[in-house]
Amino acid sequence: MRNYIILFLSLWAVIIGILAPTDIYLILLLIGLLITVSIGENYLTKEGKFILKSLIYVLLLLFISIVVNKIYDILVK
Amino acid sequence: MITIFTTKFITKRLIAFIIFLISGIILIYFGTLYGVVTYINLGIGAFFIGIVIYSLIPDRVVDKNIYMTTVENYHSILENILSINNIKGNVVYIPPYYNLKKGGIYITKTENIESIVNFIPMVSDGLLHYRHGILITPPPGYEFIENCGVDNLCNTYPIQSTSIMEQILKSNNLLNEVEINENENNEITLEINRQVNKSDYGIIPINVDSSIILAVAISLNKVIYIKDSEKYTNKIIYKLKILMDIEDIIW
Repeated sequence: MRNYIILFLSLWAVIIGILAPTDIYLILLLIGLLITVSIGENYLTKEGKFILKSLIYVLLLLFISIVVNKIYDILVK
Repeated sequence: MITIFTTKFITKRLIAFIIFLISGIILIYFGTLYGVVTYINLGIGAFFIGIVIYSLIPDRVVDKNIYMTTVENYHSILENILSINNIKGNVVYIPPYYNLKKGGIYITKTENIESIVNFIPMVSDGLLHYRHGILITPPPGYEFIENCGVDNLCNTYPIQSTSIMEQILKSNNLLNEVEINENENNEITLEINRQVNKSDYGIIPINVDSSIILAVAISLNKVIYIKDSEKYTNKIIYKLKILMDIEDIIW
């Protein structure tokens, strides 16, 4: 299962990376990670879970900054 | 000094992480230099994959033969304790609860499983001797349960908890496959496909099997015991039976 998680996230990161612009890419990475952690939580070690959850928080912060930036752009226009 | 540093800190996953990190930096650099968004994205993706690999690939790997030798030694000590005390009964699995934080196995003195009803010992960590049998806490294989987290196994179905344990043990190359069937009369059949060795012919299951049986007990939150077991060269079949709810045994 761990191998499948690595394979899925790697393919997700590469395919989306080729297709999407950077801001959407970061959001899609967050979505992929959230799906993986919620489905495969039982198969992760404590350390692995901690690192991936930390990564989720970092991506969430980036997501909030992207959303705030978009709102700001719309309001300025 | 350099050797100690190398073995202790530079692991395979760290090397993989550094390779992805460097690739990411190079991709982001060229992406920014030439204004190619795909390169920048792939650079971020390389960081991402590096972190994923670092967090999911286990760090400490023990040689399987050394591990199995240690398990066999531990197992033979337990079997000697049982034979000295003339204990020949069933192995009862007690899931963790507030008075027995890590759960335990209780081996009855005779095959009369009803003797557990009278079982009201003073519980402490380690081995506890009682006139009706012996309590061992934490049970063999608890380290695997701890690895995946007891909370993850609570409120699951036995098939789910078995699948979780199967994945953990499979990834460590300790077994091939586990099958579970819930029968009528509160009976569960557990088939563990792995190489059977001489340690498997004792009363207590070795820690690989024990962790799976304990996981079933945790998911059911019930006390279960091994009613019967059949040993073949490449598989073991355990017939488990639910004995009682955990509330009925609380002391």
